[in-house]
Amino acid sequence: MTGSAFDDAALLLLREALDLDTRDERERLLSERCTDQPGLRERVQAMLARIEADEASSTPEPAADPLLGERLGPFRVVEAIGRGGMGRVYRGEREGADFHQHVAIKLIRRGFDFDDIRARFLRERRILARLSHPNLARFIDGGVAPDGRPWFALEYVHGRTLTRWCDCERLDLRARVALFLDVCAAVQYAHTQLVVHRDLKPANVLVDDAGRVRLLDFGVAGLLAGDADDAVDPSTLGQRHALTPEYAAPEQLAGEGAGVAVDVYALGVMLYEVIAGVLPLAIDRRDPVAAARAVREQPAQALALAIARAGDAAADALPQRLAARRTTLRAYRADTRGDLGRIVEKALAKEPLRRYATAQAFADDLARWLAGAPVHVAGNGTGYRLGKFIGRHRLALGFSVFALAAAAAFGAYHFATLHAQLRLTEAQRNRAEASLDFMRNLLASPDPQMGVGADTRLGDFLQRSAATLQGNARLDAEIRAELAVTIADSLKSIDRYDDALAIAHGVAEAPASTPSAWTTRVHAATLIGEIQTLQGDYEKSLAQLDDATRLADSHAVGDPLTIANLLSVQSIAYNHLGRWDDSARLIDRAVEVAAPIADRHPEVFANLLGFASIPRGYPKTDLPAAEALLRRSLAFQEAHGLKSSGLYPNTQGELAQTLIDEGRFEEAEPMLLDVVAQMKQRFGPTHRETSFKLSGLALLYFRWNRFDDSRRWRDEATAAMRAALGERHPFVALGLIESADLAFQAGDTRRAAADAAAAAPMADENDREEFTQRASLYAAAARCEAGDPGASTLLRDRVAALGDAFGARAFDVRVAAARCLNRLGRHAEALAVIEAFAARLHAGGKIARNDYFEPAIARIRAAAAGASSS
Amino acid sequence: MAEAGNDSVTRLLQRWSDGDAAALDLLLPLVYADLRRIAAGALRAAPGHSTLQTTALVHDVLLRLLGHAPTTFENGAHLLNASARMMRQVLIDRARKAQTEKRGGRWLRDDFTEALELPIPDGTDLAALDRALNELESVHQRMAKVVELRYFVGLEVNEVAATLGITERTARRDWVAAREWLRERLEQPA
Repeated sequence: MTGSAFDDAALLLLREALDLDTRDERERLLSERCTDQPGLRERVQAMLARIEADEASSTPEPAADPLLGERLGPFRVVEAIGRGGMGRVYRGEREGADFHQHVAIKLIRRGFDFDDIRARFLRERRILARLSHPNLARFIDGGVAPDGRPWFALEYVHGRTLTRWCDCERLDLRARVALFLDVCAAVQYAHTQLVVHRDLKPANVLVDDAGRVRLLDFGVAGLLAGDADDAVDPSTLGQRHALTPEYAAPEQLAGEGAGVAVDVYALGVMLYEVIAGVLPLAIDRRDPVAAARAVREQPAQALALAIARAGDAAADALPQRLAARRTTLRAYRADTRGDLGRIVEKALAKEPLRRYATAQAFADDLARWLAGAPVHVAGNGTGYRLGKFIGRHRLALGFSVFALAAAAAFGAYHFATLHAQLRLTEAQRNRAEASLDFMRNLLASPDPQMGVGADTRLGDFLQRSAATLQGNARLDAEIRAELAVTIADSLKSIDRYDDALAIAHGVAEAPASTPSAWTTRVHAATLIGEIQTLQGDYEKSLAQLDDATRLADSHAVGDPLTIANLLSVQSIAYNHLGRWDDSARLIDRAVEVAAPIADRHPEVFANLLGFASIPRGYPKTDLPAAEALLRRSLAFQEAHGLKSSGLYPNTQGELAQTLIDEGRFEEAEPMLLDVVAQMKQRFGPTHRETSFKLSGLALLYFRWNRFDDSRRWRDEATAAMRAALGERHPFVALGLIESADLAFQAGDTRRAAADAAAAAPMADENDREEFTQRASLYAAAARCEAGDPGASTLLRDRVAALGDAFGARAFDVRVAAARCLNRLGRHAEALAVIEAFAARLHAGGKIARNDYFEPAIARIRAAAAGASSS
Repeated sequence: MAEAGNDSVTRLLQRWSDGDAAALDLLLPLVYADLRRIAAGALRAAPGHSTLQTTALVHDVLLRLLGHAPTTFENGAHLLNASARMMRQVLIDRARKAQTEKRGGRWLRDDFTEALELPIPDGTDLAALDRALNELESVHQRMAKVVELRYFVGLEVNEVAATLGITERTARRDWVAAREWLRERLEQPA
């Protein structure tokens, strides 16, 4: 028998013996089996003896953690309480004569003591040691364990995570927001100490039994400035540090952005979760690329709706969530629909520049909301302003979207070039350092007039930044100019035109010598013109933009984005003046100039193509060209992965609108239905963007003379707008006027009168007169239909006052009068009123709206003829 | 104090698939902690809150190591058996490589099993263990399985029993016998 066979026999026998319960039985078995195998019995007996000894000593099988019971510095390690990916946390105790201190001790997990992990651990320790705030777990001590691993001890916080605590304590929304202010305070404090947390999430925010918030785990925190080895290198951040994708800002997932803005974003996600009980976005962790794209592109669902989302929770989550908030669905929605929703939305903005500039500013708006005071973010959105300027419905909804998107893209571009420049050459390193120093002062200055003080709104912050910038002589003049233009651009985008102008003028008029300096001058000069356009001063703007053009020409500024920006701003100004040819010419050149960089800045280029459709499509001078441009933009977006961006459905919507203008309703219909479905999915059924597209759908059916369909969508659109924008928003007024027009054409004059009357007082300055006229027209028609003969006189006067005015508005007045006269049995007069219009129409008037005019004319004729023949 | 982070796993997986071989050293211990949690949950037929997503991550890692599609794991037991096989291979390969390169690689062997939280005794000669297990397999396959699940996945004896569909008592006796036998084998000069 070989040794191996002997071993095998021993094993099988051992195993068999173990199935017997008593020693006697086992002995009997061994005696039976080992008769012809010398040594086998002894061998198995020895093994059995060892096994019995093991069982008797009853040591727990898994090796106990060798650290338990050991001393680290003054502390005895009591128990393991937590394990991160690469860290371990123990509870430690220090026993003194008259005290008993509990601490949380953190070490690197054994076997993970690599250089980079160790360096990060030591950095966390350094960072924590310099922080002291009531809402941060206090740093107590640090040292090196016997096995060489560094450790540190923090105050031991016995508490529950923020979300758990809120639910367990059944805090209502206001109490949740109030508690959240403490989280903001801790984060803001860290920021003033130049520490960015970068991994804010509920698991890192504990609330102790006394209700005090404690922020934990600075494991991936970074310093905005400081020791060379502590400074943040944004380019390696994505690889080096663990992120929690649910709470990571878009720029963080892209491996950039290590600043304050990532913490503001994470605070936004946390507040969203605290309020709604679900995350703003569902993230697929299995696919980091898809997750990053979702975070970058997918807007958060409106807070008001999110609470009902099942997520991965049980089906009855909604009643539980409501109960935990001591509220009803109706009350919850009322609370979150307005300012609170907008505040959270702003914190969650995809672009860092559009977020609150500081945790403090975020907290300030929340405090205002709690106090019932008007919040900074509400009611002055750029879209709303642009809408006012452009005045007309269709343009307002289409154009402003492009303008906003383009402005955002340009803003991001300028930040990008700034950063690129800061890194460019060895010679520029000093400049970069000076600039960093400046940012540090900005964020950390103890002087509340200069730094992020108690009352920081974004605008004030930017304003102060600009002032500080100007006074900073250490900074290179060109870096200062770049930063100033960027700040001015941001001020513009939050409607602080005068402040933005002052800064832009300062830059535009400063001397320059290098090509990049001239580029900055041109950018500043363009910005001035853009603001003048936003202020409605188009002539002045065009003169300014001509100056900017000359400046660019004489200094050979050829940067494609700068020039394309200049040309598109000029084009917009011409658009406002109704100079469509000029507008088209300039935007075409912008497209041409930007074409070589289209692949590097696809969103900008796709926007420009959309812009280019406006001077063709809006005045309807060249609808096929507008259509071609929009189709080109869509194809470009598809080819450049922008299909899931917000721009895509908007461009589709514009294309559908153009098709409607071309009378190609059958093609527009499926496209718009698809856009509406996309919008509902992306934003929810009552989001602003959704409401605009619903309105477009109502308009389609209106123009198609499918009044019943139009009515259905119109009512949905109006309800959505009211929910999204508030009762008295100018867009709601526009929607009501469209509703009135629809009711009037569909024959419901009383509804028309009621809707127009409701809209008239809500109209903003530009539209008030027209709205009022329309309200009085429909009111007169309604009185007329109710049998009031005085109303017909009024309508006849209105027709007389029209003279030979020709157009949709004049037409509506004529239709109202004709219908009124028909009702009074004065059919000849009714026909006269309408035929005067029909004659001009058939003599070669506007063909594009024939689909609107002709059926209405036919209805008047039929009513007159039917009445005469009966 | 965060829970073992799925974020880290995702990130390391990315690094690993980008060609960073060292990421696997960090990845496996993290995945293994999850794997054991899944095992505990699955065997109790009471999946925890994060189980689905964690399971998917673990599947993803194992898929790349084993070349199986995750769907081919019929059930938790199958997954665990495959994992044990895989980890045994990984550890043996590492040990052999460390021997031939004479520099031990980045990891000390014991540190790695420690990081994986596997109950393999300190100082075990992994190559010898592998040979002994092969032999054990030819004598008593079930016992070899018990050891594999215990040593290379880190399952508790009751979990081993559930995985193999045997009583806990049987599993414990298998384990005790096999461990004792292995101890003797490995103490013998090779």
